[in-house]
Amino acid sequence: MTQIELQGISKSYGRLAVLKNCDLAMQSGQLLCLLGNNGAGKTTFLRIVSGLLSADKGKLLIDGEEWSLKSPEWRRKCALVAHKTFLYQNLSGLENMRFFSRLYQREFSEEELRKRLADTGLTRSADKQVRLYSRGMQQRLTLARALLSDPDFVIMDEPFTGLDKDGSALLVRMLAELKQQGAMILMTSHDPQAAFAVTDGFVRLSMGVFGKVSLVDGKGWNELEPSLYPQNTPEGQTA
Amino acid sequence: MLSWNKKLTFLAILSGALVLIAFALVLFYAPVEQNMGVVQKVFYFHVAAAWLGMLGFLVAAVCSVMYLSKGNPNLDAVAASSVEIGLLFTAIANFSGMIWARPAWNTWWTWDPRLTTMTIMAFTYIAYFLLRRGIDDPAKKARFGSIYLIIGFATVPLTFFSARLLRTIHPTIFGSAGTGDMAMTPAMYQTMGLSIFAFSVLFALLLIVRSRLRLNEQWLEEQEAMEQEEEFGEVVNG
Amino acid sequence: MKNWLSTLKTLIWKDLLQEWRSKDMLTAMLAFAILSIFIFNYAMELDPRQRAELAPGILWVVITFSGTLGLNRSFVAEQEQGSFDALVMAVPGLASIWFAKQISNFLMMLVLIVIVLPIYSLLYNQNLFIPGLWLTLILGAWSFSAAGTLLASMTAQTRMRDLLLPVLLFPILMPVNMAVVKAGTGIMTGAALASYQVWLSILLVYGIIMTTISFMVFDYVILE
Repeated sequence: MTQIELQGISKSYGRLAVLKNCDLAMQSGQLLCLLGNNGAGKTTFLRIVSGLLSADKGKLLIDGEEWSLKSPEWRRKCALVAHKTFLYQNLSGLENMRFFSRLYQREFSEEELRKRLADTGLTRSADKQVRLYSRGMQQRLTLARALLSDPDFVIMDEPFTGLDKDGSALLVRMLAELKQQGAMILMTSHDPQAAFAVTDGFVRLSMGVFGKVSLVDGKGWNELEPSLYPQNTPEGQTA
Repeated sequence: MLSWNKKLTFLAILSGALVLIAFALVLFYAPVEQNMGVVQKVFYFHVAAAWLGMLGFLVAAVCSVMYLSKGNPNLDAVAASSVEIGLLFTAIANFSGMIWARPAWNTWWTWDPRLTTMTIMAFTYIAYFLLRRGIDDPAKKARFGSIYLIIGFATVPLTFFSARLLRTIHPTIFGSAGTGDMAMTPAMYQTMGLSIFAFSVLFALLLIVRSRLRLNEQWLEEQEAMEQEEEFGEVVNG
Repeated sequence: MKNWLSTLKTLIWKDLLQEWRSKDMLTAMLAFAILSIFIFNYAMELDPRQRAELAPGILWVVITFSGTLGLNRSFVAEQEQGSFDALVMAVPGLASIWFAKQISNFLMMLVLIVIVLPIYSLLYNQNLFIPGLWLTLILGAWSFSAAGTLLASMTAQTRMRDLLLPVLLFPILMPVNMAVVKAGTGIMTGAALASYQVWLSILLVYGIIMTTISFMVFDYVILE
């Protein structure tokens, strides 16, 4: 998988159009950050891309070949980190990891699973029930869980929320590793500055329409901003 | 070609006339039954209403299957309207039955399997509206409603099948002649036939009108949501 | 097929382990079941000659009412943390999610039956170790968990949640309720098999119909 293209993704609820003909192309090893107000359609778009919500129109091309967004094969290539943790509170961190690795038919040994937990700083709480974890610990476990399947396409909805400074640093390191392994990452953020350290480019979603992709290419935030917010919007004035 | 509204007016007049004719036949044409007397005449409406109740639930189940496979929201509106009208006719069947039961069985209500299963079936469909009210997202409301109508209807024949296995004092009109059954003369059959036909036309009319009303309501709700979105857009973009 | 079965096993193992850790569901179900047996005793002043005939009806009411408590809880873990989405994305076929849940719920019902029947036996000094009665109750429990799992997966996503499930479930279960009580009474009073055989058939048919329909429509519950 070296390139995917999403073409003409449209979604409406009744006559209310949430997404209007959204196109997006991504290369392997690329990370894009999706910006937009509340209600701009970011979450809807991410759920469609991960195959959880069906689009009214639109197709997915992987290396030029058409795939169904709703096929289990595509869903299993993706990993989703969303607002909710997806974790089972009564199971320990290790059991959560073991459960999901088995669902993906990956028989990791216990050492391997423990090593992955250790990488996210959860060595000592691996056998504790998740209900006893702090918010930041749960978020780190969520990241470890999402990456169990070695996904080709990683979707993250506001991954920085709930993480402290060290947690954010860990996330940035993990994202860099993922990019090196050739995964594509699509994430959303309210706060472009936080994402600035890792992202390759920004796209803005406004009223259901995608703006142009602005690649970072060593530019500073001040240089990128006018191209992302072309109109004289309240957002543009305050930022 | 006539316009939609003209066709509807025509259908309304037709069904009104048919119901009146059926009423006249029941009063003046059908003979008085020997065992039960005048009160037996309520049966012409009772049977028609019971049949239309079942038809309403069947139409709802068929529309639900089609909604799940096609996803056209109009089908969901028809299904929900059909349940409402089915419930209305089931209620008519129950109350007209009670009017008859008072002199015939000497009680308004009896724990007969037929009555019990019919009432529980009505509860199945009352619960359907509770389910719909509990869901805010219109698409989810339609999907869950359709699923419920499908499994709800699957139990209807089973219920009737199982109720038949229990001893019932309720008369059966068609088929086997048991002890409590009525001896029907041709005039009675003709009256019954016309009554069922008249009420079926009324059913079709009600279904069309209610479905259109429901679709209009949905249209207005969507319109409001869209205007709210637009307002927000205007504020943001000046 | 091998993959499918191992997915199913993993999903059931997760449900059971979750329950084993907290035992929330089972404790509440059992406490409620035993309490209702006591309530029935003083509410109906069960006298020894009536007991044999009434036992299947009382047992079935006790089992389904406490079972409803369990069904209401069965989707809570998935609902609260949104893990349904993670399951949908991970499994090769969506049907396994529903089947696993239904089997876990059925196993909970089995545990309930296995504990409640001996207690009832003991309290009323009545021999309930009759294979036919157990078979009837187990067939009934399968139908109950098939219809109940599907409905609970929907009510878990509504505003009223626990309030709604019994109102939706009990009318739909009417044929099962009738069949279990009729067949059970036939067995308890030692009637000839031919007199209640048809009720066992209804139970079987209902179980098959509910399982099939749920299997076909479940995709529409979880996918939007």
